[in-house]
Amino acid sequence: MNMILTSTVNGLVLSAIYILVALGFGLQLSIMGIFNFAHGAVYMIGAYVTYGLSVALGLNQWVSLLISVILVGASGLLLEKFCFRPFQSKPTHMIVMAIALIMILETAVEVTLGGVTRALPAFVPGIFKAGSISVDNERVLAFAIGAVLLAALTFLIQKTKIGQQMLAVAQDAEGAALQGIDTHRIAATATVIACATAALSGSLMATIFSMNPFMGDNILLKAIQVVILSGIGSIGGVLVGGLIMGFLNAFLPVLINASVGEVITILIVLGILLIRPKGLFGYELF
Amino acid sequence: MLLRVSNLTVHYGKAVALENVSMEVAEGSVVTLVGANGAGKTTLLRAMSGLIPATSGGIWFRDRKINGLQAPKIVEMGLVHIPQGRRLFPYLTVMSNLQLGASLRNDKVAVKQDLDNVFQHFPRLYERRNQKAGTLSGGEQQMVAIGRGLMAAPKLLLMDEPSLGLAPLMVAELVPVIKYINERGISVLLVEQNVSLALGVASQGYALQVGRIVLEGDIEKFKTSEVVKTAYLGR
Repeated sequence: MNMILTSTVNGLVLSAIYILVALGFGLQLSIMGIFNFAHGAVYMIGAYVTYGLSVALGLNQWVSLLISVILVGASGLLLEKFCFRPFQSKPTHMIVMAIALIMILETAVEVTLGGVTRALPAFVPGIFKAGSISVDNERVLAFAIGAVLLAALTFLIQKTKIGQQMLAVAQDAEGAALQGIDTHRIAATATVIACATAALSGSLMATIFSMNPFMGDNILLKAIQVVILSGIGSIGGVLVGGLIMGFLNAFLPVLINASVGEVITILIVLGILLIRPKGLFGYELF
Repeated sequence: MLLRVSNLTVHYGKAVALENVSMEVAEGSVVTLVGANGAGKTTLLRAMSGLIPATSGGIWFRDRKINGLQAPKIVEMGLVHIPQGRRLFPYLTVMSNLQLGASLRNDKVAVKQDLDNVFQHFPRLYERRNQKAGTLSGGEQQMVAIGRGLMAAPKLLLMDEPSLGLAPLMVAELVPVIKYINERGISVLLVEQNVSLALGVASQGYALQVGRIVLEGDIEKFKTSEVVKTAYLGR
């Protein structure tokens, strides 16, 4: 019973984080047509900036988190302008650029701070109790922040003018330019949103699990699986795909073991793709 | 002159797509540009709306040189392009598509007024306002494309083959639509392969053949021209 409860909570937390990271990855894919494989490295940098400010410099941890989200988010402007825009119509160049970014960021952290695994202290230390249920506060916090952010992003994309413009560019970039939409500005907005949410997700995960310079590799694979599973360019799909991935990754390691769990997860994703090649939702739910 | 193209040359890679093309659209007029497939009609419109660069020559809109400007800047000046194949946002609703046409406008009251006008003129779109644009019929999609163009409050509307892929009955409906647009004070440059439609609404015409203007002037001249008859009307 206790195992089921713990895994369910973990499933919810993992789902929220996977969904946030996958949404950023998917936004960049559908708006700029690029596979930003460096998205996981950005997530790792977010965690390290928060760690550096709070643990090394002694700032308040919430303030550190805020600064990390703003700094990493703003760096999205540079990423879009200098790393993505020049390669938007050259997919092979873009892959090399993304791999270079991963290596530069991971190596920079490893060389300066070492490859050791660290822990980011909890934002709200303690245990959350409700009746017979007790969960550590960090997980409740991660899930709550994830859910609120997700709701906010969904609102932004579906109900605001800039959100509709993002969808328009994703569906037909030239058609959007002919409506007067500045496609570069939209691409920059998407990259900033993606980087900021990745920094936040990385910091939250670093308090629950741990952090090292290569923590982004794993989450990148999860994000790619979620996006492929849901169908490219579908928010509703990413929600469902993220929940499936989150729960598989919470339960399988406990029920079987971690490595076999990874394999089974991939097999399940492949199985779904065999039945629905366009992913669970294709493009329709956006 | 509302729009003036002077000695425009455009290349696609090394191939010449347009060579020394000059043309004009007067304020308040409907001008047509006819020509066979591959003559360069779409290329000319794409150069006008800033989607492709010109090799040499110039395009002036409301006495300002516009070649070299970004596409959104040109839309802002009032030159609006309804592209070939419509290029709607298929997974967004009809309503969203229309509102996106007004992306650069901040005058909410006037935008609302224009939206009402579009719905009044195309009641079918009002019925389908919450439907995704990609699920509409070809004729309805063309109405959305025209409505979206009107939402930008254009001074000059470039229409690229609005009849493409439409049933003959729908093609006939385009004539009153273009006349209505023109009556509202919007000038129109109509690119068409359907020459009988083009000749029915335009007052001036230009004919393109492999990148050059081969005939220009009053529309009456086109109706009797042997060039037009043999090349485009199949008579």
